[in-house]
Amino acid sequence: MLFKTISASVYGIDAYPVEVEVDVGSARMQDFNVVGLPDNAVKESRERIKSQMHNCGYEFPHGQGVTINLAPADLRKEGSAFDLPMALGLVGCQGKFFGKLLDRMMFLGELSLDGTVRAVRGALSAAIAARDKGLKAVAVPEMNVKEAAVVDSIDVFALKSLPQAVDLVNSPESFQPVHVDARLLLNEAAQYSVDLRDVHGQQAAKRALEGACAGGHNILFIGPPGAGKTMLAKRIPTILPPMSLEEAIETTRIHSVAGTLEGAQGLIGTRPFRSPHHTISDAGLIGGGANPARVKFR
Amino acid sequence: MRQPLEDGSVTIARAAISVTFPSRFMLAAVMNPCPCGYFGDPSHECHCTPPMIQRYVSKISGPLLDRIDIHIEVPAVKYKELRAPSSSEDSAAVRGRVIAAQQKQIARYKSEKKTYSNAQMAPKMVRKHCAISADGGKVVGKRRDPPGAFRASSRPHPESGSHYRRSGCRSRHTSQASK
Repeated sequence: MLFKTISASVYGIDAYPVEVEVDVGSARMQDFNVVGLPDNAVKESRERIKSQMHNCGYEFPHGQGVTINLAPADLRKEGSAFDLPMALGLVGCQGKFFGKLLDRMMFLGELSLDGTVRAVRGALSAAIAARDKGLKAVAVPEMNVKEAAVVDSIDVFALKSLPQAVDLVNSPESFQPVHVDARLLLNEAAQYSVDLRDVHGQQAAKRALEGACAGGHNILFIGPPGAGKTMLAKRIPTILPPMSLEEAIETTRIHSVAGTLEGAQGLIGTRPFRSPHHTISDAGLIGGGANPARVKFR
Repeated sequence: MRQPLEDGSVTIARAAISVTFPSRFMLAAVMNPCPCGYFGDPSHECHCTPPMIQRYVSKISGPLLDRIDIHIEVPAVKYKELRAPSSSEDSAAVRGRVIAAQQKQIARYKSEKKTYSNAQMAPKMVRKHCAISADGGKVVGKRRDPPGAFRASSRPHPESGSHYRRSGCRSRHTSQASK
């Protein structure tokens, strides 16, 4: 029996759709394989899935070989967001979806052993990928719903648990998509705790700073300790124009992929200001591996 | 820092993949003028010898300094000024002027590709939009300005491409941009 669900994998700060194909009965009896270049977190899903399904009251097909393919098979899959679509695929193989296909909705979510859905990284990028692919909806963990709902032209559902996801598939009419007013969210998020007025004197430096911000120039402050150089630099975001929605979305995507969105924050509305220590190495500044680091967002 | 400052993107290549991230940012750098920090400060004595200062300042590479358009001295603030209640403008007032200046730039460069601000101008555009007046030329020609003043460039070669952009045009187009 073969069942397919759709999910997404993060690549840089973008996400690309992934087909999660679950096959029960074709492999050798005790085998449970996940293929498609999964990383360790994805491979560990195998250990989690049996407990999750059992604790939610679903049967894991013990004794029948299970093969899960994450397509496209030649791109590396990372993260724990595949827990939910894989579990849904196994539930689907047992006929619990009464013939419904899950080809118009994307699912993301890490699952706890008791079946609770946990937050994932990159939900915003995944929602953008789902919209661009023409999917009708995306279902994400509740903690990620605000960032995903910023994306227009696609329905976004919040999920708390695996049984709730099964209900969403079987009776979508009893679920309301989450709507956020992106502009309102942006306005609320655009609050700074510092002001240029905090800096006394320094009229020349403030004028230079204004010119730098107006023209987009880089600026170097030279002076003795305590003169106010860093104070001035920290107040640069407060004199720049408010971020546009596109800029806010791009900034939020980077934070989402890096896992640094606070709480259930939907949008980042303040321009990122980062102040790395002067002894930081090039690799530390740019980022080791393929994860965004200081120069991108810190 | 050179690739992001120059190209606005960073490419990280590893064995299996190569990923390009957007990396457009405004760099604000701060530095002391010497190892102890007090060179030129009237209220503290600087104990650094000229070779120490030279060694310290030369840690910043020329190419990096060249990519920073504006170098401004930030002298120590006098105690009286620190104690006085702040009578200067708040961020919102300054932001208003910055927004107005940016809108002028968008209008100015609407026929140019991918140029939205003065800092993004190519040398050809600088020649088009920033003709130097006679007085402006005198400012550029000076190697040193009084402390605290708006310094055009700390490097010679005022006629070469990038310096022309940064040293020649700045005094005029910045005041334009800020209006």
